[in-house]
Amino acid sequence: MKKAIAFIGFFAALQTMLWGQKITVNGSVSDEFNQPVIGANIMVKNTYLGTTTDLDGSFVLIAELTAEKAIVITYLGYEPYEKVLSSGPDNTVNIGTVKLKPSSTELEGVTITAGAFEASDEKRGTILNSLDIATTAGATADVAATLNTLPGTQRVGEEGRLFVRGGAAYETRTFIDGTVAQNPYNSSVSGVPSRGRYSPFLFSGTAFSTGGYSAEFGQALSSALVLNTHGLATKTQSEIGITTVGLDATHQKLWDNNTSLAVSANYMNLSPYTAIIDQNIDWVAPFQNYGSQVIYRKKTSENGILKIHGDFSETKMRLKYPNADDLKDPNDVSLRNNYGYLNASFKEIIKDTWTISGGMSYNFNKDYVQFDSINHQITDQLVQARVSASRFVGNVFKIKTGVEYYNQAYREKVNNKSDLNRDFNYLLHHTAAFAEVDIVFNSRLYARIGERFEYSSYVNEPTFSSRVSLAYRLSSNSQVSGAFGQFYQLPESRFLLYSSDLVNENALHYILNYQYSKDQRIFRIEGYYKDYGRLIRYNGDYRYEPWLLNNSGNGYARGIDVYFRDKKTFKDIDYWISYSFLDTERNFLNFRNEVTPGFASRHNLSIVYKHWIDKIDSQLGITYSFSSGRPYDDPASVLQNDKRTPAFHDLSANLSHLTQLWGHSTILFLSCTNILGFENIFGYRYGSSPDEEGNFSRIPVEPTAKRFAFIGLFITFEKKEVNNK
Amino acid sequence: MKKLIIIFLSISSFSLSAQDYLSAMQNNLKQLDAAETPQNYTGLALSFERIAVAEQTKWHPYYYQAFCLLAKSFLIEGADDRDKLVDAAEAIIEKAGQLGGDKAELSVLQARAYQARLSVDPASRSMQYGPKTTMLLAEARAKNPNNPRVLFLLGQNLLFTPEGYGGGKDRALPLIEKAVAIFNTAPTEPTVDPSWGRDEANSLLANAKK
Repeated sequence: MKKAIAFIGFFAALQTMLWGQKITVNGSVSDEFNQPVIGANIMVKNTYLGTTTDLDGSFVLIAELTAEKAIVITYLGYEPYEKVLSSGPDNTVNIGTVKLKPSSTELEGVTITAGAFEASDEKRGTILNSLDIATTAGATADVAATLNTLPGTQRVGEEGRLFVRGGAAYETRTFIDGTVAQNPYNSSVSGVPSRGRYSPFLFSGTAFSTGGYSAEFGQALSSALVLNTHGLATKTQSEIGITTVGLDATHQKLWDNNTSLAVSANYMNLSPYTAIIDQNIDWVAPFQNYGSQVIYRKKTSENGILKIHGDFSETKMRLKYPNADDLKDPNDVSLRNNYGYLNASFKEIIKDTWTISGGMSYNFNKDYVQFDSINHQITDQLVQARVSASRFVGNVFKIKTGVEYYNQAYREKVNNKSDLNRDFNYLLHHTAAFAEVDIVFNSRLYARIGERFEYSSYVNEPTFSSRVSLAYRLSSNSQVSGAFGQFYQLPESRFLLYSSDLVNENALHYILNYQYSKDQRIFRIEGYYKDYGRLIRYNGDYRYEPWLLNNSGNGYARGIDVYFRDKKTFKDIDYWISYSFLDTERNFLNFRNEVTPGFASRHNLSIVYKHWIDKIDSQLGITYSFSSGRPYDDPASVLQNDKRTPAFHDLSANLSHLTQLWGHSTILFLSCTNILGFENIFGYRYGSSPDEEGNFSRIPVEPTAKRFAFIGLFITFEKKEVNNK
Repeated sequence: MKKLIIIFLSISSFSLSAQDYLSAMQNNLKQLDAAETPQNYTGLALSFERIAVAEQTKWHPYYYQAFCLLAKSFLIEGADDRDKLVDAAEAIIEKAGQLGGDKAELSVLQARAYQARLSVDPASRSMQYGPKTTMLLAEARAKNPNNPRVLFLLGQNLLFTPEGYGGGKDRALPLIEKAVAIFNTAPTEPTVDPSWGRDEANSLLANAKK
């Protein structure tokens, strides 16, 4: 027995020696950029004991280890690190510098910035959110007008649509919930700018690419505007809007926290406004529009949702259009437009790995235009369906693939009750498929490689286009990225109508970008080069001589865009400055040689300022915009597009005041464009024949009015909650 | 002899007992009560994390780790740093949920996370996180009508939401009063379950009644 006790005693002593010894562990912890990690947790595995890293990332841990002799190092946003220790002399161990790896969820949050502006309510560190669009002065809550304050866009005031990096308006396409919105702007006549059909409040996410966009989208030579609508509504409420140009009402209802339906109607009439404020346009029947919208949402599962959106509207206007050949005899122009849109989309996550999304859209647009005695009817119908699937593969890859199909029927009838009678139409089928992979090479280097296949029955030419983008993180706040892409687009409908010998227009994009963002300040600079080929050209009247249409046009666009936004320096103040430099020339349409097109201005500058003034519960917005002169073609000059309009200046402001009317939350919105009354000229329209001295008479293309003032009152009604006691 | 050795080995095996866990947690909870500065919360978050990682199957330490990270985010400057803390807290809340954490309490913590996000940039984020907070708390309340923390947070949310947007003193007071009543009659013996909020609720009620 004595022996046993002695043995046990010896054993116990041995244990104390082996297990009870204190060991000193030295080391330091760094992140993937070799920067010291402060406040990491270093713990003895399977105990509560531990220490933390100092300001230089180093630590000293003195503790008794367990049998496992292991330590674990953790830090927020990084994978835990475990190490089994081998004891050194004097019971000290130096494990050197441990470099932690970012966790996969961290990596998911990184996006490649080249060529893309993302405005999302879901992701942080994005450039704009949906509220920005509604509150940017000068835009009067129009999506395209707000995007015009970002770099990479050119201001074309008489058009009202998006012109991106030297590209014409048709080169930018709009996508809503994945499918194309064929007519995102309301129809208009020459000289009256269009406005977007969609309220910015419909969208929770806007990804505006200025080039190099994903293989998921196609048929846009310059840019894809990708809009994502809100999911399920958050409450039952009604809203009415009373403005100086019309009325609107919405009722939205939420059931069982998984289904919502919103119905709205709107009516707009510019007559009362134009009667009071002088216009540059001679209206006979000012712009009038009425329409209705239905939005249905249903959560189909924990992560799945079904969205259905239906929309119709009718627009009418009539005006006297100045005739450059005879100022005393203006043209009588009227327009009636019928528009219908249906979009259904779904998203679902299967087995926690595959994300499947898909949708279909039906677009209907019919314009009746009367130009003096000539009657024009254009009908454009497009049905599209698409489905795509994506998944993560380990922490390294994300793959995405999809297919889509669309069918377009386009018809144009022209007659004048006597000898003029034309009726053309075309029907085309278009299929596309894409595959794209995101690769995380390491915590600093990302790539996205995609390939897109398209085939259109009308032009009978399959195309393969590659899209590659690469991002290298210089630090946790900055990245350098580059993008390359090939883009194809069918010629515009008005050309496809007359010729079936045409092929796709194309463009190559090369983009290089640097972006730095920290604590609500963001700076970015981007350089690009676009190479255009096979643009549509003709020299004559292609409507009567369609064989004149060909794809011999080409061009280039290059420039630098700079953007700086600061929400931090001044309390309650948010401002951004964006500047674009553009150098572009092209030989397309009826150009005689390669010249700068009329929609391209060399310098574009926007300064946007927003200030929340607590004392008066209001947000003040001020925007200053500048564009250098735009080219125009003087027929008396030998050279084409060698003249420049004067520069464009505009100072606009708005005020949103939050208040209550009879206990209901109310927003009073006031805005005015061009407060200082600059006389801006967008270009000139010339008469068709010169006078005796060889001069051509001309009419300036001006804004529809010097200023546009707007007042709106928006009241929200909510059901009073019944409190259970 | 063998028996003795076996008994000896089992006594001396270096394992953590329930006793260690409870006393470590209670020690930390006492310090949490007194915590005021970001450094206090940082240290406690690290300590709770060690307990959580060592125990592996208990959700309470993760709950309090997330609680400390969120509390710290309200006290520091720097939008990026604050958002990172909320990111980490949300990941930990999810982990706690997977370990079978109390759903009502985790909803309260997630609602606090939404509030933390909102306060980083109220101008841009209130439209998004305001309704999210209210919806989450309303759901939690429907399933747990007597959880005082749910009622307190919901009351606090409504008190600072303008009346026109569905908030206001009249809607908030009944909830805060009910929360205070439940807090004041709750058992006071030390527990590992979330029991915070009594002082905050009482002072909120005093402020609201002014």
